[in-house]
Amino acid sequence: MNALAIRVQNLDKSFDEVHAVDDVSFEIHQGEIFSLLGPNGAGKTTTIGMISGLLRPDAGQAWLMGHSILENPKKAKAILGIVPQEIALYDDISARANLNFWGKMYGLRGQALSERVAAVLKIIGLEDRQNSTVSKFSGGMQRRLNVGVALLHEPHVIIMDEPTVGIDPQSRRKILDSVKQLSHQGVTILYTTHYMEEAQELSDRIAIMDNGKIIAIGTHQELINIVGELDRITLTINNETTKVIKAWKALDGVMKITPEDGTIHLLVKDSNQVLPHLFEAANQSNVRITSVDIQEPNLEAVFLHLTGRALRD
Amino acid sequence: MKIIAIALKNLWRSFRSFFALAFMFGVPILMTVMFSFLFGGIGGDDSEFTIPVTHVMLVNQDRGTDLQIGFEMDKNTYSSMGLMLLEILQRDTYTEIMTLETAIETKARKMVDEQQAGLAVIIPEDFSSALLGQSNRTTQIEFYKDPELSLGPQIVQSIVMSVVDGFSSGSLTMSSVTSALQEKGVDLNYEEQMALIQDLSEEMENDPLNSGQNLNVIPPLAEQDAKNQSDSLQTILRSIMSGMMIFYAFFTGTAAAQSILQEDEKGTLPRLFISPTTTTTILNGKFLAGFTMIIVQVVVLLVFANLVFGIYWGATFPLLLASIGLVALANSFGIFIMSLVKGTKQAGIIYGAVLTFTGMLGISSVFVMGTPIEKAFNYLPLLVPQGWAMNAFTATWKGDWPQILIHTAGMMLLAILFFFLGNMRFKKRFN
Ligand SMILES: Nc1ncnc2c1ncn2[C@@H]1O[C@H](COP(=O)(O)OP(=O)(O)OP(=O)(O)O)[C@@H](O)[C@H]1O
Ligand SMILES: [Mg+2]
Repeated sequence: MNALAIRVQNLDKSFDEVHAVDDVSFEIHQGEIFSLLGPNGAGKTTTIGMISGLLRPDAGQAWLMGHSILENPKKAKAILGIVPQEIALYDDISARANLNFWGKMYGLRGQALSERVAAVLKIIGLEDRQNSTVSKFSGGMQRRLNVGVALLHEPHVIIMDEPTVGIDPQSRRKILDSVKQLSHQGVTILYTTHYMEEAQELSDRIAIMDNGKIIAIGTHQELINIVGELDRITLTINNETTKVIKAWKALDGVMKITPEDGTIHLLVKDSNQVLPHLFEAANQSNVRITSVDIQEPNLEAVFLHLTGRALRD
Repeated sequence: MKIIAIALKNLWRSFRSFFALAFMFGVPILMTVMFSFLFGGIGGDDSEFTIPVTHVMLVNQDRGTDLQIGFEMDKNTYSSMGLMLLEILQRDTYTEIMTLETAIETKARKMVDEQQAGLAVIIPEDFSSALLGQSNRTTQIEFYKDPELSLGPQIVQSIVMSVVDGFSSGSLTMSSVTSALQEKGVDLNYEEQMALIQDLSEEMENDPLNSGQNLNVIPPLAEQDAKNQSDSLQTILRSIMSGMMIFYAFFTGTAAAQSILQEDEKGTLPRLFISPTTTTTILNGKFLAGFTMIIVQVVVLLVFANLVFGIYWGATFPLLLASIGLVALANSFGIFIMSLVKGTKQAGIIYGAVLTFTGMLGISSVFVMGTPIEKAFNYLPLLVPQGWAMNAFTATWKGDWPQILIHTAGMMLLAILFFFLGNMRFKKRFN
């Protein structure tokens, strides 16, 4: 059990009507990068809130390096660094003043504090702007500082909640690289995102979350295997009729078909072989195919396969 | 200590904020200057102080003397000194200072009690005989005053005393009026003295009746000290300044507590909660910041008013008590108020309605000073915490120890109560 950095057992949380987190369990090993991938409202932030002690679970438990967040919050929190989804900084003071303050909140003092502040400024690439007021920073710089705050006390475990939302490619790259670098140093990382590319690039293992539930968990390859070697075809058509959908469904090699307002998602065994038949059937139903997109299996396809919906709408 | 780090961070942010500084220091000082212009008309050389006209009830119980002699003045003979005093006070000379009504004692006292008269002058039975006997005479006239009105009745009282003085010494001088007033603790400022002298001497010159009267008006020495000159302005400034200080100290307390909600909405408070810092530490850090801010505000305003406006606040120890009470109460009231509020969106209502209303009521004694409803505002403001603070500061400069102690104790009790409730609600909310 001590080899586990994070252990989550049957976490459950409801807000009024919404069952935000529904019996979620998983384990993250030390040194792993583990992604929680899911669309908006899947329950990622709520799950993290319970792991970090911000939210009290309705049921279930979470442990950080063996310390229960409910029974021993101070110890559990001390080994945890958190990058909240929303930027949580004092924007009327400087970047350096922010780091100094947050460092103190994690018990850093004097020499150790100033060394860590300097190191973090270097990691997030804000050394030249350290004395500027945060409100004058670009969104990307604020995000980098938001990450930096979580690194100050050299936590064993870092949880990052969609740290790259809405930022420029350079800042994004910087954050992704720093995640990898931290992992190389042996830090365990729980990373949430709704970008499957990020989950794919970073993660040792991925949990796919939807409607408060973990619907699949495993390495990238293991998840892809769920959909098998199926290719994914996305078609747009000028006139969605049940006739054409029926005809396509009946075709050999079409495993799954999901119509969505003039856009049709199909999972097929071999796109090369199926594609001509799709056009043929369309012709017969007087339907024009206006665009075609073919994708080799990926997490998007897995999500689609499991939920019948696209990961991003 | 994390508490101190949190408090310092809050203070650092506040003292960098123009808005916060303006409300803590700029606005109270500006408001004081503004209201002083409005009420006191400071700064104008042509400012006219009107001496208030006092309605005086005269009760003449003087039985004359056993000798049955008459008293002569201006060719008239009076059977008692009391009647003579009445005759003198009825002259046009004093019409701009008092309106005179004779009555029996019970009615006179009642009129004063009901604030329909400012002063009752009760001349005792043995007034004439005591005067003749040259014994202890001035103490025998009773002056029954409305305690809330000071200036008008004091002037009349001094005039009466001077007239009585004049019965024996044969001269009535302005300086005897002013020194009598000073003995009573009323310092007329220069303008008021000049207005009084002008009124008296003009009447005297124009009125043929007075020609033979030996009323001698001597202007006061020109080098009356500066303190005397500005004394009533002082009272006005002091009241307004303390009112404004109290009003805005409560704003500071509320703004400091509001930062808890702001941080909650900004996400920095949740971020503090996921650090290994307890809720108690975090909240106490915020409370300490508010406390320190109000201390700084109160100290700066007290010192500023003393140095720039020359306001004397009272003795050090009572002032310290009143200030500590104010700081504690303003801070915990802010905590309490903000603990009732869901989010910063509602804060506008708090400032606009609750704080402004309670604040104005609390310091309302400033605005009704010298008006007939003044008395009602002795106790009404005690419905709100600001009123306790206002009364404590008023008692402080009056040197009224029982009032100082009562109001400081009241403030501390309220502060403890508000802190307890607010703290409990915040803890419950964030746990
Ligand atoms: N404090 C709250 N009060 C009420 N409902 C909430 C609250 N927090 C979350 N929810 C609801 O719980 C569900 C899960 O929300 P959560 O924020 O955990 O999702 P998420 O996966 O983080 O989504 P996103 O990608 O948008 O951040 C949503 O339906 C959300 O509306
Ligand atoms: Mg989220």
